[in-house]
Amino acid sequence: MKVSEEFLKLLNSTQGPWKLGQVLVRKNSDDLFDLCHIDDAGAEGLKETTDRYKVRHWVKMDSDGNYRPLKSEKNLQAGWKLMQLNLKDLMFCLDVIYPTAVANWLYKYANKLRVTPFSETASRQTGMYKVVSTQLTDELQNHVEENLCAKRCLKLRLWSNSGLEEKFKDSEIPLLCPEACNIFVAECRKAIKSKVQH
Amino acid sequence: MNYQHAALIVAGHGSTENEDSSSPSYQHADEIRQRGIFAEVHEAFWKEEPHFRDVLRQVESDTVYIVPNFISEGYFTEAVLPREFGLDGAVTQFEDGKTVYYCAPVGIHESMTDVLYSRAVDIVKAQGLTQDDLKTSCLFIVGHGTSLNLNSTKVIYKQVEIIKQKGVFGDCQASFMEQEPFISDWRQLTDLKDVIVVPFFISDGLHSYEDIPVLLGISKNVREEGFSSFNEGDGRRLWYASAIGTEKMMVDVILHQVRDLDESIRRVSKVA
Repeated sequence: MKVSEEFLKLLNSTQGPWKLGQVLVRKNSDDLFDLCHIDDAGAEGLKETTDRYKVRHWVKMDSDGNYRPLKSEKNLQAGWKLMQLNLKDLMFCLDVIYPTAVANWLYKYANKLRVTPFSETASRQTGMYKVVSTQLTDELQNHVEENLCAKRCLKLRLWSNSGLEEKFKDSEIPLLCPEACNIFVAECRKAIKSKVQH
Repeated sequence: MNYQHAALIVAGHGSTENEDSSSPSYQHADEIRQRGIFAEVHEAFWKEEPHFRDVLRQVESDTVYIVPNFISEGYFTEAVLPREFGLDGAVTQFEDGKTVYYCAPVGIHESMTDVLYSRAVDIVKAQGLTQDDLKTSCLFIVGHGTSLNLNSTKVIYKQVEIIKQKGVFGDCQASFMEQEPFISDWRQLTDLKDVIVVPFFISDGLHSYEDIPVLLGISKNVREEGFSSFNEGDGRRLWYASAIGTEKMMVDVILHQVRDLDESIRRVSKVA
């Protein structure tokens, strides 16, 4: 799938501004877009730039200067605005902020998004994560889903029983989670180790 | 070098703890992106997003090169990356029409010698010294050591042999954090007055910022005050560099690995 072509079709066929997680995409002109934090819609005095690489800095750390390895965590810092991005630069920025989110949605839209059940993800783990395939109970899995996925992450778990039941506005691109990530697997391992020690 | 028909994925380890772990992969990918060699350049990680499992959905080109930004062959390059990307060898044909070429990790490429050499020379020249001063210097290439990293240990010994043969430095030695010869014994390992230490790691982190400085006896906070020179009380001088993977020349190593895989495939297809 040519993600950029499909994304352009989506943008042309729906009314913006478009919301992805904690960011807002607005059309600046026919071919250019602006991107900012949803809390900054209409705000003044933002750090404005046309340099797409600046986005890395704002994504890497939260507003307190702490590293945020989980990019879909609900703590994206505000106060910035990326201006006059062409489609390529817009996609670059969105992929930095929410990696693969646009592609996931377009694949889902085209019924091509493969969802991997957690049992399959767990069973292929090796090395230090092998314990997740052998010792993770439903109770521990639920505990991690509650504390990591539900409390901290904006993504919708397609691989879990929670499923994708919601209806979305045309202007909303939901952050989909077709497969449990390594951060989830690592947290499951921690939960197992912690249980064993207690 | 023109790969306008292809995508490049720089595949790194990443970290949920160390914010600098993925920086070299981004740094080198950005440079290659700006050179416009490939139609697209992406980064992917084991411990960060985009994950190896997901990144191919972002890729539009039908020809894709994956270069592991890893220091040696081993568990990650032989088991984790192929499994997560869904690869079955050096060349994998996917049902959606993509052909994925899986290159060797950067750390084992022969051009790493040039990267090590350049890093060591640059750090000394920055102090106003000349190339002749290298004749009285010992270059230590530092690895982690222990049985978990046998391949990286071998890579370091190989580099030491090549650099010794060049004869630019007074001496060159392999040393390790957790196995003999220990880097903490550097004063005994060489009699040369000047010592240059280059960590053979992909990124800066706990090992290069804290562990190795402690083993060297450096009291300054390297993370805050930067990598630099340190004068020892006994008249010896020590230069400590950041991790080799942060060197700008690593971009060329990544490109070498792409070209080398292409050439080896071409050779095999000629024979066939």
